[in-house]
Amino acid sequence: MRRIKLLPEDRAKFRIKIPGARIPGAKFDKGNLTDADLSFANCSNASFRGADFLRANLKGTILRGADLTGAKNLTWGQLSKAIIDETTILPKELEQHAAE
Amino acid sequence: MDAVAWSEVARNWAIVLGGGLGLALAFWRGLAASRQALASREQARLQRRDHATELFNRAVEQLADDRLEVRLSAIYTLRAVIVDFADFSLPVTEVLQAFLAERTAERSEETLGPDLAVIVEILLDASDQAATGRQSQV
Repeated sequence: MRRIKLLPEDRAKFRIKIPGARIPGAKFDKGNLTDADLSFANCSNASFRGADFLRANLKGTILRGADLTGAKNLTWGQLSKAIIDETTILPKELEQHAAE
Repeated sequence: MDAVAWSEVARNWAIVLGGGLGLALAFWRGLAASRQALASREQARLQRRDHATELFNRAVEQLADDRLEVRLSAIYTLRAVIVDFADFSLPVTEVLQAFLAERTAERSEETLGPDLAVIVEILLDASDQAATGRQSQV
């Protein structure tokens, strides 16, 4: 399938902005979520395996049951603003934080 | 110089002038044809653009349809528009993001419908391209 095209000037502007979206079970595997706004989105049971969360806004994002295995550039600062529980699968480096 | 020599000179000049005139005419016709081709190409481009605008408008209206197949068709149409017309990419992705953010908020389903899954795929494709573009600018 042919890929979509973005104008060079639009590449700097484009960000994923879906605050408040209800998208349980969505697949974001290996997705680039740099500067994305997922605030207050319901992403329960979503898959974010290997996704890049650089500067992503996760305030109030529901991540119950979400799979964050191998997520890149995801910090505890971002994750602490999201809603997670024991069913959320965290990247290895953040599991320790969650345990504390 | 006798009359025969004069007539030869005159004939040679006539050949040179005729050849020059022919070349000028050929050049002028070539230029006109080239302008015509450019105008035709521009007109074809504008027609394709008008068609894309029409597709965009119709697809956006169909996004709110109750039937899944109509929504899916609208989403794939929008995708096709931005594969061919990069300048539609930002408006199309903004429409799709607004659709995701606004229209899904009231949903009660615990699974993602195929239409929403396709929107997520399109957004990830755009996001990947944006990130690649930003990296190449650094």
